[in-house]
Amino acid sequence: MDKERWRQIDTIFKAALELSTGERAAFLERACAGDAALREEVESLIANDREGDFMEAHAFEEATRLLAAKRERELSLAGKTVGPYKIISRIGAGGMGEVHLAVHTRTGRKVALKLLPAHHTGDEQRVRRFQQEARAVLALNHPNIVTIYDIEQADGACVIASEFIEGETLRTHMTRDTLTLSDALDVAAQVSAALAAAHAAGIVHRDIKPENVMLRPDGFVKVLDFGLAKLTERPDGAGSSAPTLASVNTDPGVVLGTVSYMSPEQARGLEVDARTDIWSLGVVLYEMATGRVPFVGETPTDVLASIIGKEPPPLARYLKAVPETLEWIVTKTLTKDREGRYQTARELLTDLKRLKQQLEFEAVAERSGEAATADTGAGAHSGDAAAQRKDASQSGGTTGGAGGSTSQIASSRMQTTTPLDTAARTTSSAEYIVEEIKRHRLGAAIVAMFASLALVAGALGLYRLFRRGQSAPFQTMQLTRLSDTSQAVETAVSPRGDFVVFIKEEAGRQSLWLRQTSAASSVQIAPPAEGVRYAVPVFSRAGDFIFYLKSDKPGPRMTLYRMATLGGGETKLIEDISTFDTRSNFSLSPDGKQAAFVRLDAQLQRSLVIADLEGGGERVLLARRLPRFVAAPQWSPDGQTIACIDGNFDSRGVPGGDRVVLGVRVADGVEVNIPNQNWSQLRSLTWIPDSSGLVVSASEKHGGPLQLWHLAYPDGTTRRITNDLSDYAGVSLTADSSSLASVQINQRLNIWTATPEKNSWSLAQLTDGEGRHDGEFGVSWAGEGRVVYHSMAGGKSDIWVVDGAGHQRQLTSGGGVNLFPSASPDGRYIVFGSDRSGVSSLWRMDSDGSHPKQLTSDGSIPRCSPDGQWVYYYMVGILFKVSIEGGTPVKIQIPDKDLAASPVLSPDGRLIACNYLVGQPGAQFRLAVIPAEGGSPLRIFDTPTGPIKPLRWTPDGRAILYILRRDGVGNIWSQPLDGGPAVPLTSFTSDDINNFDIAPDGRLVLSRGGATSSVVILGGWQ
Amino acid sequence: MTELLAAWSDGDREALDQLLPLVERELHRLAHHYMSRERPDHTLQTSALVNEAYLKLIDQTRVRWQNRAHFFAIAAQTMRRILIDHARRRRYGKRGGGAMELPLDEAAVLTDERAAELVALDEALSVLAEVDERKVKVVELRFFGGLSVEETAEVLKVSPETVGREWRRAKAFLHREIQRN
Repeated sequence: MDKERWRQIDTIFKAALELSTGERAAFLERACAGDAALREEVESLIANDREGDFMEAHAFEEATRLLAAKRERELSLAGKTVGPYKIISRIGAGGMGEVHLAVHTRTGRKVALKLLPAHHTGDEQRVRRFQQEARAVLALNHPNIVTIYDIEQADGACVIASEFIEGETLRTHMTRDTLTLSDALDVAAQVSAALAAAHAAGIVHRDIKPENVMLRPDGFVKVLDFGLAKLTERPDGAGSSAPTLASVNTDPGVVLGTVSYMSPEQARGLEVDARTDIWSLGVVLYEMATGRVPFVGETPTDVLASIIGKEPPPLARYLKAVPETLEWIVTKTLTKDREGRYQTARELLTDLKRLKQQLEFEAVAERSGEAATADTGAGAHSGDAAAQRKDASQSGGTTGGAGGSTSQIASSRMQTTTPLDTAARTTSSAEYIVEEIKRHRLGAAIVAMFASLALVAGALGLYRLFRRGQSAPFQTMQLTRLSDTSQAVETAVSPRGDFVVFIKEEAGRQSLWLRQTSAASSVQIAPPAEGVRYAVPVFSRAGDFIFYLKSDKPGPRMTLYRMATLGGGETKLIEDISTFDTRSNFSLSPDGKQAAFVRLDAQLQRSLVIADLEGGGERVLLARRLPRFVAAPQWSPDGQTIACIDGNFDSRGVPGGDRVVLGVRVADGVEVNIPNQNWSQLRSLTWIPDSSGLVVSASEKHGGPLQLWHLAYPDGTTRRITNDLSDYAGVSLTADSSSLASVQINQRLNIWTATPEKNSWSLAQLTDGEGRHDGEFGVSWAGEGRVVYHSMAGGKSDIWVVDGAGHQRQLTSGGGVNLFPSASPDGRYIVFGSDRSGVSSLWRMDSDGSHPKQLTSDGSIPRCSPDGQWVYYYMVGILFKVSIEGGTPVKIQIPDKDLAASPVLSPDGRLIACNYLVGQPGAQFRLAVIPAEGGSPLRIFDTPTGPIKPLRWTPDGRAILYILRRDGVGNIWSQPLDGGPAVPLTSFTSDDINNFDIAPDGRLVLSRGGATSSVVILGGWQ
Repeated sequence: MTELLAAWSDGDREALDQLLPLVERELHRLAHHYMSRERPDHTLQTSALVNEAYLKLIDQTRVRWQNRAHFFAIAAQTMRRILIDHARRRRYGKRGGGAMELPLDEAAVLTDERAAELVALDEALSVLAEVDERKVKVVELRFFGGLSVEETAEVLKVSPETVGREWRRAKAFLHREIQRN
């Protein structure tokens, strides 16, 4: 069944359900108009429409129990005694079982206790045999080896006690931070030293990987689990210590991480020896240097096949200036034939040390060389002097067009200190490499060492902008918001810059519009129609045609169409273009004859495809299977390369992102390195017409707005174009790159007051500005017309105060995230939630932000009592109050099985209004009132709420106020305490309300707004 | 609505995907808190749980959730995955001769029949997803995410009546699909 057919069936089914049973036959007869199959489908659905209990047992309850059970088990071991050890807490879980911090009950020695359930180790006999063999392991004593104290059987598990290391694993470190090349060499050298000692004692590790390397804060590297891999090896396959091609398939997820470090002999299931560890260390070194493992594949089997059959990409592919020696060392450790590898860890250690010394020496030499130059450089400080020299020589050697700007660049450079600046420094030095690696997240391709400042003759517009931007970041840039482009979703500018085309969305319906940039209004060129969506409008090179994707079905599959810019019908070109991961999944070749796009197949594999616009000629250039994906292909101006997003949904669970811009050669699909960083989000990209770089719409940080960036090609220097709190969706350039079009999206949420008048409310805006999220998480009157509120205006969540005249001041800063402020009625204190202590808890400060004091160790949405003595809050469905002076929280009892949230005390202090859930199947949160001292609800209203919806009492205490949202418009409603029907208090006709509070005189304060968007033109940078 | 669905499968979703482990960890932690004060016969409202997880994660991840709807969608998908993974392991364990070890306390959550039912339901949902994403979202938010009709309506930015109608038709589709197999 396809979507079209289903829509047909569903529409008739929907209509039939509205009718009584008796009316349905006649209706179906008419509606299906002789299509017997259609009628049969609808009838079978009607037959399955049952009131019964199907799907009424809510799965979330079971899911919650499951979650709770898992957590229970995690916690249950704490305090237990295993053999002579008492477990303190869980440290982590490894491939071989859980690791706990424990103490020896007699000696008090701290140990890391590994518990291997019996099913991991096989029968007791095997463990005993292992214990025998482990004597050698226990005897190992080396500063880089984690000492194992004890291996024994207890409570049906194999228990291994080892030295407790304060520190983190190399894996944890690498996912969070980058290693400098120098540090990477140091880690590898210490691991080599550990291997050398163990190998001398006849012990092979068999499982060297970043998870088994601990980094101590004092710089010591400790290798974990020597010889333990043997304990968990499969009893069959004599001597094979690890899963082999045949055996890994049974459990792909679990071993995928591990197989990457396997040697070819392990992959083949052959006997292993010391040289296996050397291979694995080579893989780790490779990963430390580049952020990637050398052998990859979609499945463990693919990885193993790659280990056995493929040569790793040279480091130079990911690092632009690799010391030759390092490349040589890595190649030697990763030689498939054991005989060609380093034969001993000692030899490897020697080479690593030598390289490290060499780099350090060069770094020192470089520094002193720079210092010498600076001495003659009349006051310039050292690094910049070198940069100036480089700039001058490079620029001077190029065509006249740009030569004139040399002095300007040089002089402005002297004042700059941006890190990117060093990319323009002349160097082949080790220090430079080391610094660059420090600066950039590993895994991103490292920035080119020689910032190529060679100019393209006659380069215009953006090039100059970006060049000058190195020192004066876009001071002269102009941003023009085009009128009559509100609610724009995507846009493109014509090559001459005279038109923009944009997609507009109103009330969920999309339409296509054209606007002359010099005119004041827009013209609709494709009207909205139910369910029709558009994406990626693009002008042809001559500007005479507009290409766009369109679909009338939900889902990511769209079709490419073309339309004459100045009117006419549309021509269908290519079907089945996916816009799943980013809408910008389409571009034209420079000659306008071909298209590049992304296609998604049923297995969720994404392919980068090129095809002739007139049909045929389809060719897949690149394919990515989940969790990896390819998106946003953009054809380079010379037609040779397609730049695209190469991403991975699975970035090892660490916020930080895993999306890079990758090049693909059109001729043969070979991947081409485009140096750039790992982005957290990468939405769209476009080439600068002279090929000097790309402009991307991306965000560096999680939750950070999508901003525009310039990516120089081929050197990879990244520079910000925009620096604000807006999102910029999409990017399009004119042919001379003198201007750039994008859609700017602004989240507007500001503080307003509403004063009651005879039949209406008089609104006044206290704060203004976009992207600030004023009051998103809390707003409260603070006496004398002042309002305290949560805001992102300072870049992160903080508490602010604004007075009646609109003067704003930030009250919290520095520590953590601060939200849900509530001022005490006497104006003395402000209570709020904060995670500044490491856990989110409730805090109090003076009204001027001074004297912060922690009140509780947990809790959410605090609210001061009207007498200012107490703070009411909730935590996991339980209500609490705590004295505003601090002390032990008091639980407010409600029936055991019920849940309550967001409590607010009534003006007379006798009642609590809250969001309440009775413990019955199918129950929903309702507005309820309970006695202030606790007990069963006195009244549960029909008013549906949610657990975290803000509630307030009217000043007379006779009604409870809440927000009701209809069609995107928020209003305050009032539920009388006497049980009468809820009535609207306000009758606003636009904007949403996010949070509110009411003053004793009945004035409201509102966090109110919505999202707006419009087409913007950036330019004027010459 | 279409735009929202697009957003779920758009760039924002990419960013949120990476927060999944955090969402899951917080759900774990809170589920335990909630359950530790519940008697087994008591019903539990996940809506409370996911809302609270949402508040916590505002603090902990320092993420500006661009839309509360995103968070609820992610939480509901997480709950679906956790439950279905468990149900599948249980089914697989039976077929594979009981070789799969499920810890006792986890094993007590589902009966074999229920595990089979959930696996069948999940498969039927995959069929529905091919033709009607919106109904799948309604089912995920209601059935796995524990949201009320009103909350689901708010998340999807449609009227509660629409949610009610979509839910009813989705159920008919799923019931038929399960019966057929």
